Amino acid sequence: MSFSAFVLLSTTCVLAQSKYMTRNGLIRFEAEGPIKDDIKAVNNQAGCILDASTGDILFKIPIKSFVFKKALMQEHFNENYMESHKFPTAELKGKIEGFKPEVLQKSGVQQVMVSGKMTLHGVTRDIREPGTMEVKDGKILLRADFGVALADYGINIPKMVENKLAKVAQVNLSIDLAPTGQ
Amino acid sequence: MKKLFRFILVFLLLGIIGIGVYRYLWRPNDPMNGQKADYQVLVHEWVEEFKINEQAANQKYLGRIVEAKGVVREVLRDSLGGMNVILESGDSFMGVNCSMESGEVAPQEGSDTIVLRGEFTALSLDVCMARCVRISSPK
Repeated sequence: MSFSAFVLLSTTCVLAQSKYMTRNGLIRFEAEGPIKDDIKAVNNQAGCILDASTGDILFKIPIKSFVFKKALMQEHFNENYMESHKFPTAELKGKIEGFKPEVLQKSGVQQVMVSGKMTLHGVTRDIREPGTMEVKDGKILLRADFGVALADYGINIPKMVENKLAKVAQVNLSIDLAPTGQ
Repeated sequence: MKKLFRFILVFLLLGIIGIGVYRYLWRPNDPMNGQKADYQVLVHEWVEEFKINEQAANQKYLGRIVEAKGVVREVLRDSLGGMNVILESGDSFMGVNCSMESGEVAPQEGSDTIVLRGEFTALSLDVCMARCVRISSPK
């Protein structure tokens, strides 16, 4: 999504109270193969906007913001696998299926299904993943765990490291959305 | 005696090489404190650059070390204890989002002008920098 389109959406969010957002969404991933090598990283700069009148949702994630314990692993992740110089962000544009504004009045954890298009490493694919949603202290808390098959997004694993790297990366998403008007 | 000396020498050399390789493979990220900035920017001017031409700005700054000077708009915490400092840009929505190194002390919201050094990672909702540290005076 271009910056102008993003700003347009963002501005609309500021004006409308039905929009919720975060600037510090937490995304963790783990891609350990049979040989354990501590291949995991954390990113706390995922941007997310939810239109609470329609259930439309947008994520934008800076790839270089994933931080690893080992510098070399971080370099390989950015240079060899994600090619973050060419594809600096990942994006998910979708919808919480069957979302109605009334669900925000319900307490407790609710099961939700998010579907849409995810763009990673320059490849866009349809996704449909389950997660949970909870309304707590005026915030909407979204949680999800899902797998991302690296080959689906054109991320090739060299033979030399195929025992170290999982073919499917496990992604954990923890997003606390606050009303934009606050 | 000569053989023993050679054996010890080879053993020591292999040990030193092994330690070197291990330290290279397992080295953590270079601390941001010791790094030199590629760019020094004022937050409101920097954000403006992205508004004018996102692609060009991305290309210019991606992966570079930037020192950004601005006023703290907001300090955010996540569930893992991570801290993000949002610097005010004058834009009602977008700011500079700095994910701080662990151990950094939280600045006061709306405080005086501060300078944060970090690696520019991308434009998300904000202009994002990772592994940020606060520096007392720009280099």
